[in-house]
Order: sequence, then C-alpha cells, then structure tokens
Amino acid sequence: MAIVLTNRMREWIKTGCLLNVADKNGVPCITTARKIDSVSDDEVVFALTKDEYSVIKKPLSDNSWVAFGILGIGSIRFCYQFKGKGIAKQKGDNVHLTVKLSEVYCTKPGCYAGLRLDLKTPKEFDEWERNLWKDMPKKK
Amino acid sequence: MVKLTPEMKEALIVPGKGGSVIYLATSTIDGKPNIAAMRYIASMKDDKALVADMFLLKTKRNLKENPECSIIIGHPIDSGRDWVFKGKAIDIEYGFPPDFDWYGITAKEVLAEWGDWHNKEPPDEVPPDVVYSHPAQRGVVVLHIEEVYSIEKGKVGEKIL
Repeated sequence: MAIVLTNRMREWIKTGCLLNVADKNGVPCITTARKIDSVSDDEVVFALTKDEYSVIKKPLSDNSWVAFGILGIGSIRFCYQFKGKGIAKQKGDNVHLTVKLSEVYCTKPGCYAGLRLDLKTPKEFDEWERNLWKDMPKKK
Repeated sequence: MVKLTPEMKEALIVPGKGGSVIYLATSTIDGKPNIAAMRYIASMKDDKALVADMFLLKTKRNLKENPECSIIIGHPIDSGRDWVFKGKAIDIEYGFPPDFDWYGITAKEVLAEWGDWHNKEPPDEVPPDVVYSHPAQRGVVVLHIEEVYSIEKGKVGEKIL
C-alpha cells in the first residue's frame, strides 16, 4: 500500500529524529537528525551534519535500512516508528539522507503497540491517526 | 570495563522520578533495524541498564537472535543527557533459571527487584491520552553496557566511556 504521511506526522518528523542503521553484523548505530530538509508523502530527507553522518556512513554503505523515531517530547507525544531504505548524498555542508518509507508502526503503549499501519489505505491511515491523536507539535 | 557516572544513573530512571524517556534500538541478525521509545528504565550496578518487557514485539524477536543493542536518551534532549549506551542485551523472562547469569547479575535478582515494575513505579506522569491499562510484564531486558557515545549537538558519535 502506498504511504501518505498525515499532516501531523509531517510536522512531528520535522522536529528532529533519532536514526538507527545496523551494520552488517547487526550492531545498531545511532545518530540524530536535528534538521529535516523535506517530508513528502512517503519520503523524508534528513540534512545530516558531518558528525551525525559519520556514525552511519560505513553501516549505510553495507545496509540501506533505516529505522527512526522522534527526538524529545515527540518520543512521548508521537508514538510511531518509520522504516525504509536510505540513500546519502553530499549537499553543501550537509549530507542529505533520503529515506523512502516502506513501513510505519504504531508504538503507543497498549493494545496498538507494534501495529503495522502502512498496510492501511491512505484514507484509513489518516482516520486511524485522527481518532487516536489530536495535538500538533509546537513550532520551534 | 564501563562504569556509569552518577549523572548517567540519574538519567536512567523513569521520567516521573526525574529520569528520561529512552529509545531501545535493536536489529535483526541480517541488519533490519528497530527503534522504539520506552518508559520503564533503570540502572543496576555500574554497567547495566534495565527496561521492562511489556509491549515488546520486534525488539523481543531481535534480541532472541541478536544481542547487540543500544539504549538512547530520547527525552529530554540537549540537557546534558545526550547519551547512547551500547552493549549486549537479553530479555530475562519469567521462567529463566534463577541462577541464570548475564555478565554478573542473575535472573533472580533482576526479577525480584524489577519483575513487577508497573506497581513499583506506576506511570503517574504519563499523559492521559498515552497512558495504558495495567500491562502484563513478561520480563526485563538487561543491557550489559560496553561503551557510551554522545549524541550531543556537534559531538555526535564521540566516545565518552
């Protein structure tokens, strides 16, 4: 099913993310993405600083899977996990990591924990989130 | 051998007691990553971090085949707690032999202290639209910490311990 991120999801993702890229031995490598270049229906472009990218440069060259959640208060108010394949490209002083999303999971504690959402139609996906959450992140 | 600082131990407690929301990061053996936020967090001795096994699915499956794991302070950020704790983890579930040993701590001592976490540290601080009904705890994830890295702005990836 095609993923169409909701407006709320886009706004929360823009607040900053925590990325997990595993190396070829399955060792999680963690970095932050404090700046997000763009978020479209099913794609997120992270603008990584040199130090942020340094952590995942090698593992990403062997394994393009990227999983991410939200940094800060979003870890409580925005209980989702996103997964997809990533490609990195140098752009100015930053490295742009483009992640094409293929999986979205609810991580809200309780009966919905682990529910896979990308199998819903975009309409179902949007309705599901509207029923569960109302708030939008505060502007930085 | 890593020895957590007092500040790190203060960060590794539940948010309602001044601690942190943490992320638990794991991977399948062939490299598909997973990352999920958790509330029930504690430290034990000088080099262990504990997380309740309440709603774990893929994390649990990943740890069954691959013990490589990281715990990250997810909230608050930019507060001097910008750390990644990296090491090897196991999910000590009910039914483990009491004398099962994970890098110097036993299943008996872990489950005796942290096996009924919801009642020990109820989620009073969790917002009403996030809080959940009484969860069934199945065990405790124990991370044996081998390294600590920074995720501080401008210093991401720097080794601290």
